[in-house]
Amino acid sequence: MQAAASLPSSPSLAGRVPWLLAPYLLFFLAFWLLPLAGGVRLSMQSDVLYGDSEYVGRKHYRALLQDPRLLKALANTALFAAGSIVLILPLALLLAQALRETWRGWRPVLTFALLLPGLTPPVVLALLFLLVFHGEAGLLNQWFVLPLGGQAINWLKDPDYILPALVLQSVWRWTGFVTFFFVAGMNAVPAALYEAAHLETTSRWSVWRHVTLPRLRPVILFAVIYLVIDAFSLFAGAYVLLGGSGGTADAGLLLVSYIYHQAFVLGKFGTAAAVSVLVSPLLLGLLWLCFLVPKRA
Amino acid sequence: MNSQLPSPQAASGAIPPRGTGAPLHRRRPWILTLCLLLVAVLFAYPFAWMLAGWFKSNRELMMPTRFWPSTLDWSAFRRLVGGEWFPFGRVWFNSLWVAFWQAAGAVALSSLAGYVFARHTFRGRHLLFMLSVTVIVIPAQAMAIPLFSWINGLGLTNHLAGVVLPGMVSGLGIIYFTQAFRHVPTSLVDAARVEGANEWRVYLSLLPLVRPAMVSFGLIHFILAWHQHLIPLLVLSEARQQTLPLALSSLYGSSLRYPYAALMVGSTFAVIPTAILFALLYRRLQTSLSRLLPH
Repeated sequence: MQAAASLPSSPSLAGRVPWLLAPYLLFFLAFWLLPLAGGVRLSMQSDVLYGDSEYVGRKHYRALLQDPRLLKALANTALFAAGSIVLILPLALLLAQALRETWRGWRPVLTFALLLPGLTPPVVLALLFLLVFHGEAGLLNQWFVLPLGGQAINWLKDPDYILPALVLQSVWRWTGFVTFFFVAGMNAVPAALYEAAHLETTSRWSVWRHVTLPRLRPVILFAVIYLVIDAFSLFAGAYVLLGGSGGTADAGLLLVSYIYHQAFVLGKFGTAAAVSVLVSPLLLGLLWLCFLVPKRA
Repeated sequence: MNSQLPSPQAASGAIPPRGTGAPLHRRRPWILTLCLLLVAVLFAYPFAWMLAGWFKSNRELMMPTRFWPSTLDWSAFRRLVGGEWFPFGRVWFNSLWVAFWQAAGAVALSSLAGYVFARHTFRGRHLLFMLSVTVIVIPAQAMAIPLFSWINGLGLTNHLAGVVLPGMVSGLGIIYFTQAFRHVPTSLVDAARVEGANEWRVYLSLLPLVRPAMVSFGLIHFILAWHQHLIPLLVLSEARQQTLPLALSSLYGSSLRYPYAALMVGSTFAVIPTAILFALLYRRLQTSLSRLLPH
């Protein structure tokens, strides 16, 4: 997946833009660049629902930079992304290794069970999460917290537990997919490498550490990028779980919920557009980092 | 799992066949499988519970640890499928239609662009590529309002095409197919070009070589399209044109007077298509992903 950062340096055909690109360019222009330009323009217009809005320059941007809620949303989102990544990656690595070592006939069934949450629309996922896991009667409390001698936790009301609950939902949703990708990555390791490694050492841990793990690096990178993007831009779970608000004391306020709130609850479309414009370079920079750091290492 | 590492048996010299992912040792993986099974059950339990929920009353549904329904009551299923709350068959079909055409369109557009990005040079190529990739990171919420007014201007409000057409642009697809076409041996590309075929024919002749990428990306995009919420919410307001996630969430958002079991039935139908597709394509997807990953 490292291809994203660098195109091949010497393709075999040079010249003008080939007309083969035309269909894609047309769609890209019509349904992406034009709305994007519209968004940038909107971010400099006053917030009115109907009627004419006027040009206000950088007013929204200045106001946003002083809004503590935006900072809170950014911090929460970063925490959410970091939490999901820290939990999902090791768990998925373990599960992937276990899947490879278990009986062949069991693999599809187990993989399917792990992947089921990832195949489910966020609406349904959030609904099941609400009914099954949260609240005093929920499974998280009944199966884990209470047997371990803890107090029942109100996962979606207690500000200390809203973000952990969101992270848990993300773990539930994405671990299967990441595991699936890791298994594919492990299968791609040439057997010859293992044969060579086994001439050197008898320790399975050391083989895993020095052969499997380095080979998985591109897949791990891909998973990290995917989870970061999901945390910042695709997250529908928080919307359904918390109804588009930030939850108690904004403890679960994510960037997406912030934008949603500005646009669709407060009707401040200009401000909402400005948030997105403001955040996009940040995301691009993050994406860039994800590509650059492993290359340097 | 760590407790089983390191193991002296690993040196027994059993050489696995290439690329099959066979384990390096031949111990019986009892404990490992048991752990896996536990995690899998935990992950899948809510879905089994959802199926059992078809027959439960609202009161029963509020008790997640209780699994079996007390009665076999099909009324929620009959009322939902009978269209009591929304035109169920029509809405389900809308969802399938939107996801299918988005996937087909994204595969077509992205594979064309991927071929060009991987096998052509021209001025502005890098810029265009980077610009395409940014599609992935900009929050959909940011684009929603201008996109909506643009679609409205095109007269596509309340048409499924208003959701399908924008959904055909995929940044992930561009990366995916650029990578896939880079893996095609240059000699094959050159051979096709030497035969005097025009670029369109070269592209077509190379397509069978990237078929695994087409299948796996098509499936992934189908799943993403099936999960889409915000753009359909804005574009499709008429009840008959809605997609299943929209209809379900408005049912969920309304009062408690209807049976929650109906939500369980609807949710099941929202999971079925992607689950079946995935099960059918499981093996293909696994091999194509392995092949696509850099070695």
